[in-house]
Amino acid sequence: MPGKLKAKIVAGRHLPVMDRASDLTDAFVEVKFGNTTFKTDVFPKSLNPQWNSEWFKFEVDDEDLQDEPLQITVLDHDTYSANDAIGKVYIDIDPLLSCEAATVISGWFPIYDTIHGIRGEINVLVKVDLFNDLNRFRQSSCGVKFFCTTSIPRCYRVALVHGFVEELVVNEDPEYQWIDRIRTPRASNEARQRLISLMSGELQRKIGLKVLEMGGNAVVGYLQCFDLEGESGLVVRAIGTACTLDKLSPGTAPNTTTHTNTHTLPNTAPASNACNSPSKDSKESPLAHGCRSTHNSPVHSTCSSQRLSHSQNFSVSVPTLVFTGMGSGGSVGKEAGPLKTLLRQHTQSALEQREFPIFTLTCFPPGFLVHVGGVVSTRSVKLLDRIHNPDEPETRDAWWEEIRQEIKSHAKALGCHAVVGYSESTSIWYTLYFKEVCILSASGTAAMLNPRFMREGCLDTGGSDHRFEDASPPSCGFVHIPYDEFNMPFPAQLTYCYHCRRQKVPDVLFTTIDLPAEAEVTGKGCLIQARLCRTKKKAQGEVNATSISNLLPFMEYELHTQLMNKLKLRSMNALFGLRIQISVGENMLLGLASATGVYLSALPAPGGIQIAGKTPSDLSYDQHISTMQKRIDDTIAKNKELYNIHPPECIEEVVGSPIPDRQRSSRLFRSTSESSDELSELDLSHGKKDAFVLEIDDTDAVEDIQSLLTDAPIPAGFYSCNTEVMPGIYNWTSGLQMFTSVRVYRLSNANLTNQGLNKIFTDLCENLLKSLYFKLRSMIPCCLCHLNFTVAVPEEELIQVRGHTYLSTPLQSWSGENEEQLQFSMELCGESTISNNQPTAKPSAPSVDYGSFADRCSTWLELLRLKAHTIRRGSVKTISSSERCSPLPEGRSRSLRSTRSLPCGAPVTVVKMTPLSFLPGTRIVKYLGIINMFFIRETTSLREEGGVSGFLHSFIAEVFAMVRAHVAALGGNALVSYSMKECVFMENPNKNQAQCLINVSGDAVIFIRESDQEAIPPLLSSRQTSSTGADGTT
Amino acid sequence: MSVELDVFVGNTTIMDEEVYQFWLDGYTVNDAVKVRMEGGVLEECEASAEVLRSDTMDQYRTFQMCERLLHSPAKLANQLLFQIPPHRQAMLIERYYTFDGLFVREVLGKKLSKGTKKDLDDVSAKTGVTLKSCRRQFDNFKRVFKVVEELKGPLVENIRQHFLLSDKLARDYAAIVFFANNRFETGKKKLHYLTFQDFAFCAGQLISNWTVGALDNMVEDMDVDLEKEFLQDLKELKILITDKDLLDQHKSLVCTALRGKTKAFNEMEANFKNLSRGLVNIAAKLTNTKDVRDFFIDLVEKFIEPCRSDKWTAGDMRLYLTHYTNSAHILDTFK
Repeated sequence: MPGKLKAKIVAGRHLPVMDRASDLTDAFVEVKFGNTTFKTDVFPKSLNPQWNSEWFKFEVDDEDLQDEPLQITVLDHDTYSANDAIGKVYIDIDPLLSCEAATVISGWFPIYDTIHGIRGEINVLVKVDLFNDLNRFRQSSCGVKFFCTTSIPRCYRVALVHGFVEELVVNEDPEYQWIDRIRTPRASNEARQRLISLMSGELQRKIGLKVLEMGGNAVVGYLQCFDLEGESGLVVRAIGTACTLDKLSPGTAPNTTTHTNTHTLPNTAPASNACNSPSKDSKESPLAHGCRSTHNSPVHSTCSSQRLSHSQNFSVSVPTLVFTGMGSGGSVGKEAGPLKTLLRQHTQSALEQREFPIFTLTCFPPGFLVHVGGVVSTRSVKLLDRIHNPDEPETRDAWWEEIRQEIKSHAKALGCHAVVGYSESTSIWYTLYFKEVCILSASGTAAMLNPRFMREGCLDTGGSDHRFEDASPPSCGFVHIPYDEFNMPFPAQLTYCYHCRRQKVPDVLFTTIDLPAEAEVTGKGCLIQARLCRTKKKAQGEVNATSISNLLPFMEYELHTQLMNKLKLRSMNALFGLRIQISVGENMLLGLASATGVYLSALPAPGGIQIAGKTPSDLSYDQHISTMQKRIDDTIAKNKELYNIHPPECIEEVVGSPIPDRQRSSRLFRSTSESSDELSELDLSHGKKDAFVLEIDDTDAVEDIQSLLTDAPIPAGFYSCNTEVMPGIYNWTSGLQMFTSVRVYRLSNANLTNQGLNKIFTDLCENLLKSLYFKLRSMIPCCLCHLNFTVAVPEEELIQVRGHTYLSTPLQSWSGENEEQLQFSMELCGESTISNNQPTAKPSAPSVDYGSFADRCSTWLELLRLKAHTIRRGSVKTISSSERCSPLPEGRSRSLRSTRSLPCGAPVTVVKMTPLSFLPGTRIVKYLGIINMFFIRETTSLREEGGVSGFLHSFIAEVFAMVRAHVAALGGNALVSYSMKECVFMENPNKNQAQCLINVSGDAVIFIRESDQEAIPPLLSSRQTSSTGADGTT
Repeated sequence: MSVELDVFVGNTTIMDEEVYQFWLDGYTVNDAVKVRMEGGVLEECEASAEVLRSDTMDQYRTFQMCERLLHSPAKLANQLLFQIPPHRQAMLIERYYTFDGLFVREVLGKKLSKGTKKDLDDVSAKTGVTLKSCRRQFDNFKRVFKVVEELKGPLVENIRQHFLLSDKLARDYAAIVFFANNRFETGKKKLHYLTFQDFAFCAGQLISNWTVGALDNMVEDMDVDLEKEFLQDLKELKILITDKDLLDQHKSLVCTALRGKTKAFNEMEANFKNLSRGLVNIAAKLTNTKDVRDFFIDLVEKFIEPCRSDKWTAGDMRLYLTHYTNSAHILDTFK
């Protein structure tokens, strides 16, 4: 009995009218945890009931504490008939179990009903007393911290990285065909919400146990996904990276500079090698030497043969593709230089015992990443079958295991011992009467890691590590090839690094990770998207699976070609944050690849694109080609200006040239993969030609080039990227906004060709981007960070594109002209009410700072001050957060901000949400716990709610509101690493019905603005001492 | 290919003030798109009409969802659904409750009933304000009326607190409520030259001088109604015109004070008895509800028009009335 959960129901407000006669409600509340239920008294005839209940106490196992949510149901008492439910609140109490996170959950929660949406709010207080059982961490995994953030959380330092953790749990879906069920949709949806909440709790606990076994205390880069496999069941799976984190004491807290946002960790290497210090980066300017114009796409793809096993599971082909450096099963490292061998041996031991040397992190402490090989990815098509025994989810486990093994072997082939920036995803096609098809995908970046972080006791050994550091200076080290240049796993043009001139580098680098902080970039980065749509015959079962798996390699190939072309068109030579999504529909496959292109100073300059016709007999044809060529050249020149890419002009250098003969021969040596299929080896390298040549002898290629040139240019003043930080722009103001946009298109003509579909799909994506630019036009100059699209084919002829992005305004010394422009636009949108009374505003800031933010921020500051004040007066401790939310007029009376008083109680805490792991211009001082919520909303009056758009709009707004409320109740003011992982929308317009499922997650945090740091300590320390006192470090 | 669903949601609710105004003015999405296109937003940022339409739809949906909250503005500040910065909230509320001067003139003093609402299409046709906008404005009047009707204390302050309006707008609403409650007739042709602001000024004066609240702040009644006792007392003024001596005495006092101070002196002297009779008669009749309604029309017919025909200036009028009042105080009867 290691825990006591206590809950108190304080009050409700804005309740709906449940009794038409009196226009009032007789509300009471049921509080349920596990199998125990408590009830409050009925508060008669009020829409703003004050229950002020006693503390309801639940004595429970900590295992249950982790698995179960606290269920709060608000009901309307009815003397004669059954009580009507008003709505529910599920509270995940996991954040209370870790002593470093929140100590109390307290605040106003929206009361949610699956049919009516939000119906008023309820004020709740929740606490947990964990008994001081010495053994308590052994029984369950209480105390293991979870972070969605894919970098080391800001106020921690990493002591050890243990490695990959994964788990999945399976259950039957309480309701599959929601429309056809007998039980009310509401009941089944509620059952579903509850079940998923339970399952994710269980999953988290199990992962926590694994972490404890490994000796870690935290999971970073925790990624949890749902697979709604329809009739075959419900799979909840999660992956993450187990770490041992040490909390930073405030004294040693690194002074986070806003521009290098990834540098929040102190240099964990005690030796603090000179080459690790950022100061040296700036000194080492890239040397101007050889410049190669030859180009070659170092890509190689393999498709293993189709393994058709008709036994119980049908599994089709695992087509794999490895970008920038990959060979399947290529011999590795035999002739490797002594240094590399040493390095390999060194790290091998650390990683050897691990089954999967895989890391979900995308941002790393300095020195962690030694070399990067390239992208490795695997896809597998599976037929779904009913899960017979939910307690033994072996099949699903085996599937993923297979995929991870594949990834691992690809990484090995690249001469790397680890995979970083790893993620997994699925795309499921539902059919009513047949088995469903599912594409499982995994991708990551093959890399060599510094063993220092892997082994215990190795932290202080500097000797050997130094040698590696010396061998590869930090600012360019990661681009150096990890494989052996004489026995390369794929054809590539190698040159000496343009930075250090000592090591070889490839000509192009693709990765799934974020741009390392130490990387030197020329010019600015930009978002690059490749889009592809392929038709597929309608089919069922195995035939369907086979045809999908046959299409996959071609899609990968074409997406890759597009990416490469677009990269060259922008004069860039590396991609970061590459994310390739392939979605399956009934009669088509959609592929969307997004990445952030940059020009890495250490890599050679990319060559141009040359167009060649195969039959240059016709004069007009020649002319056509030359105009095309001119257009391309112009575009490249324009892009160079746009992205400010002006690499130092280099002279061809003999030393820098690769060894072509050896290379060619090495290709012959390459062992053939296990595949017997004729498709088995797709050479994506486009041969070895001087410059990148596109042949336009067929219509396909013409189409390609057209699409290349028709990509609308990004409007002036906008920058976009899909990574956390915008490469090439370093000065940021505080982030402003997070948006989610969902669009569904219906294709009117079912008999479209591939090209037609492609064009439509490209237009859809372009339009969505254009819409974003248009909406944000008043904010320029600004940057859309973490701009990510998700595509799905929910029904035949429907395409769903979902994008979410985070807007930041870069704070730069803009020229006078620009500043004027900016102010003008601010007047346009009437937001010129910059609060100048904000005491801490930097003198340079106001011109770019937006009124809205300043306002919100000052509200927050006031609250902090208020809280600090009340605590100093000696009033009761943990009430602080409830105070903020309770309708007391205090906040208003002290308001400096406006002359107008709003007599409606304290304002609602402003909670920011961002898909980034940080908020620019701020410092995260505390992580309060993970937020992982799942909601279902349905309607039977679709038209009345404003059609599908109205329905979804309000649902998304409601989800945001609930997330904000939970963050605020934990005492936080932001949600970082936010992501909407699932947004499944179904409609039946004939019945006037629709249903939507949304899953969101993120880390609740407290942040302070950089400039306000001095103002904070009194508050935080008082908050700390007033709470449990267990955590005195913040 | 057609867009089935298209939504854009921000964590902080984004609103374009221009589109908000279109929505308030009752433009349809299509009309708003047309106007925006003519406004040149498209050239500004190379967007297509499709983009503009999608943006307009998004905004309209947001406003529709917010409308419920705008009906009780206090809720806007502590609701959780939309995260809107306080100054934007204030803007939303203020704009939502702002009304057209032309429109309000049409319904001023009318009963805020269903019947009046039904006639709004005529009002819309007459004023050029869209029916949708008319309905919103009418409903705003009615909502404010209903809320303050039940409340005690000063009218303007009540409106300001419950609807979070600016002082100016709260005063205008107080006038509307006051007029609607007393059903003052304002629609007669002779009154057409008066603007809403003219009436609002009168309402302000009446509220602060003639209502229950005006006399005693502690009284637990509101100042929507004219004070009965006061109206009763006004009857006693009749002596000013019925008693011949008193009338002469009053006249001579006024004339002495006015002599040489105005060009219209001769007319004032000549018309004194008529004018005084007109004023006192209006005052004495105010105990009748019917006569209260005709208060303004009577005032114009019996007092303002004669003065105007004598070419009085506004200054003349002020002077005359000041001395008219002051002199009355000197009379023995009123001491």
